Amino acid sequence: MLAVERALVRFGTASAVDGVDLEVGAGETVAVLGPSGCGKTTLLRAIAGLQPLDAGQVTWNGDDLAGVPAHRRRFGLMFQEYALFPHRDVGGNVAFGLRMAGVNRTERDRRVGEVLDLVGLGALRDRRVAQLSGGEQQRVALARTLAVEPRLLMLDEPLGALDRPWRERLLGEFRELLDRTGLPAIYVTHDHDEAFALADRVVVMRAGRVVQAGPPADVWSRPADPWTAAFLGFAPPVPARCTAGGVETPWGVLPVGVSGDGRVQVVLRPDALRLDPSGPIAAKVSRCSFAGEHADLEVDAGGPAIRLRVPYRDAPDVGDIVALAVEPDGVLVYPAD
Amino acid sequence: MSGRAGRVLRAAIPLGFLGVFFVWPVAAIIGRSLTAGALHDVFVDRGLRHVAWFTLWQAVAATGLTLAVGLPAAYVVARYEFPGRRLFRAFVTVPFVLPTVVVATAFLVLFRPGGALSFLGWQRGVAPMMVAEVFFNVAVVVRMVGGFWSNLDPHRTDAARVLGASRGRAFREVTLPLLGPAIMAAASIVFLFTFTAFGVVLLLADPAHATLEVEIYRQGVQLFDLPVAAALALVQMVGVVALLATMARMQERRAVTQRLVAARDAARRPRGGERWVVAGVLGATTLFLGGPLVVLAGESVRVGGSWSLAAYRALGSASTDTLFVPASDALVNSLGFAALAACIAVVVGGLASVVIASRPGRATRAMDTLLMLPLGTSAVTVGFGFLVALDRWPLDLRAKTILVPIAQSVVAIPFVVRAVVPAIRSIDPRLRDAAALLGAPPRRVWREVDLPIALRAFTVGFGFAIAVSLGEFGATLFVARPDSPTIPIAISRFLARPGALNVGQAMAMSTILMVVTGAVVLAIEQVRVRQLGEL
Repeated sequence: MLAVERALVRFGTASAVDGVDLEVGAGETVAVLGPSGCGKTTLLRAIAGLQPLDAGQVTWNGDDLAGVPAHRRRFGLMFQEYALFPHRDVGGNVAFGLRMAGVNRTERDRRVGEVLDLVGLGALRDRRVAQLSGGEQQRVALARTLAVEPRLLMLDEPLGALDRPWRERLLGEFRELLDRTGLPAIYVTHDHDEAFALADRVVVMRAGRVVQAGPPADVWSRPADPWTAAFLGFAPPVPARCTAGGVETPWGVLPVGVSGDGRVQVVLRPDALRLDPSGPIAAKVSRCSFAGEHADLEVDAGGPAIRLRVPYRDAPDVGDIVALAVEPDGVLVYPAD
Repeated sequence: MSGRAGRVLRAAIPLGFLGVFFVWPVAAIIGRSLTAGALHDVFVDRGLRHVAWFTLWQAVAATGLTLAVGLPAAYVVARYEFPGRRLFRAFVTVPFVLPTVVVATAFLVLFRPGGALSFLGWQRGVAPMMVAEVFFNVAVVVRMVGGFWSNLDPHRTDAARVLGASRGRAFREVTLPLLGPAIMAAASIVFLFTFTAFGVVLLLADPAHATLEVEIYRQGVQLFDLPVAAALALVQMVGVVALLATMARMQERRAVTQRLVAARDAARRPRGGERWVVAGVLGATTLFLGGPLVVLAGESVRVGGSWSLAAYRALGSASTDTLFVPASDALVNSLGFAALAACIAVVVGGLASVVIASRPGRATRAMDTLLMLPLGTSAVTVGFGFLVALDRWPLDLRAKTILVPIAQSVVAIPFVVRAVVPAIRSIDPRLRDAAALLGAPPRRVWREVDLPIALRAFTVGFGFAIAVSLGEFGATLFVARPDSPTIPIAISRFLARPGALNVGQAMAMSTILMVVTGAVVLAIEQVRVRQLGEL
């Protein structure tokens, strides 16, 4: 299927995409995750054929696409903020690709109706796009992309501009849609929750480079470096030292199997510590905030504040002294800077 | 037509057209009569320096005044929905297309002793000349700025208001900068018109005040000093090129890609105090632009001091030794020439706009400047140049009627370019990407995205081109054959003859031209609304 090899895109002297490798297999959904400005949109444009590569190549089933212009690649791209045609109504936007493909009117009408029904907008066919809400525009953009039956679906921050109920609803619909159609897809986002919820594989990008790639569970449980961990929302790293019994941190020695000695950095994954009356670490609860069925605690165990999430009904009060047990797997050890 | 070959071809057509029908004729005139001595005279002679200075300051002042009068009207037309809005838009355009001779005469009638405005004591001088210049050019501001303004997203002003900006502040900090390119474009056109003003200066200013254009005419046609005329033409052109280059650069830098919204969404009915503002602006503008037109129409039904339709009856009669042909022929000629000229201008100017808008850079900026040059060139020079340069192999067109629409299209192309380039530059480039990914090859992308979205601008450009061609006088005077006059030519022939009936016929024809122009402009508004109701 799709393979990107050592892709390089330069803008002036800066490299927006700097030696990226990426593969998308049949029916696979790959999330490209990174902060804004990391080159993910540029990577999509390069795959789509909108942005020439300065080096490397994009292949489809082994064929180099260098000479194939964007309009012949049959890759669908849903743009950030959708790029709907303001001079066409909903039906006209969805029919666009079919007209380009020379599909006759009857077939086109049938297909437009079908795709609009699929995204639940059958009734809005004659509406002007400017009259639609953000979520509706988003669905029109999706319908427009799907109508031509692309061989690869690319989504650029598709939920970025939507409010939360829409996001959650559409995330579920995307998941179902991708499962049902079996379309290979690249989903670009800066939101790790979206990426983890949707993707078979996550590729983390930073400053034009891929820093980590793997199944969501792997990426989450073993971020490649402290930057990735921080990007996933983990606590900032703290300096530590290797000792015989584990790593020596401001909170005490955490029992982790490490080899060698010397200075390291430690990041606590959110599940690294849990409330346990027999746990070795004593801490004072400094903050407790309500988060639905959970409570987010901030506790003081001597060093930097530690955050952990507990079921709401187990939540202690602010000022309580609690005991914490360590889950060794959740203690991430990285080399010192 | 894609890739490099297509780009070259798109650039080659307008460049070739302008090269043959503008650069070559003008170069021929200058090349044949310019001498170093004359150029020296022009720079040393205090009188001519005075002319250059006067030309410059009156153009700056008139441009400022035109913006002051036109921007409120542009605002009202763009932002408010009111009965007769379309009619008002068309009405504003009418003065712009009237032959200068006619407008000058209308103002002379207003300011002469016994006229409605005689109390101002402005019978002849700089003041009535300026008033006439503003009268002519208000349309440029209302149409160009108003057209762009109606496409601006009003939510941005709302955002500024919410952030604590007063109405005036929001206008200054948000709307004005976004309107910048359109205002610049309109101001540059108004400046060019006033910088090269001819008819109104000749007829309304006192003899002590002359612009370069009038001086070129005096030196070349009255004093037969062709070298000095050519030198002046060169000075004028250099000034215009410098200005145009600066304008093109500023416009490019300031063009902001922005979300355009449907004109109908942006315009709303005025509320509360706004009603007074809208009514005041509409009333004042209508009075200013309508007054002289009413006087003009009134004069056409007054022959020798009493009410009479004699002038119109005389026009209807077949035998006129002034025109050689029935007056209706002049009308048919004018319409035919204008339609043809506008088509040429839209094709040539449209191609050029695509090139200019798609690739910012030195080469396209130079092209932009070249295309604007006809505006700043003496019509006398262009018309005369046609006769000198196009009368022999390989292009012997002197006796051909086709020269008339060609000459008119040369003058009209800048309008198309100025209307279309900002529109194309404002299109979100992702729309083109989206079309490409949905399978549209480059040429199809242009047809499906750029063209429909810029169609409004094309229509505005086409309307302007028609209007300019209908009223064009200077160049047409040289190239029209005696037996195929246009309306402005016919009017000038009537005015040149003594007798109340001839003056009356001139006024009658002016009134007809006024009506025809209004009808054309209104028709274009209709097409625009029907085709672009969606946008």
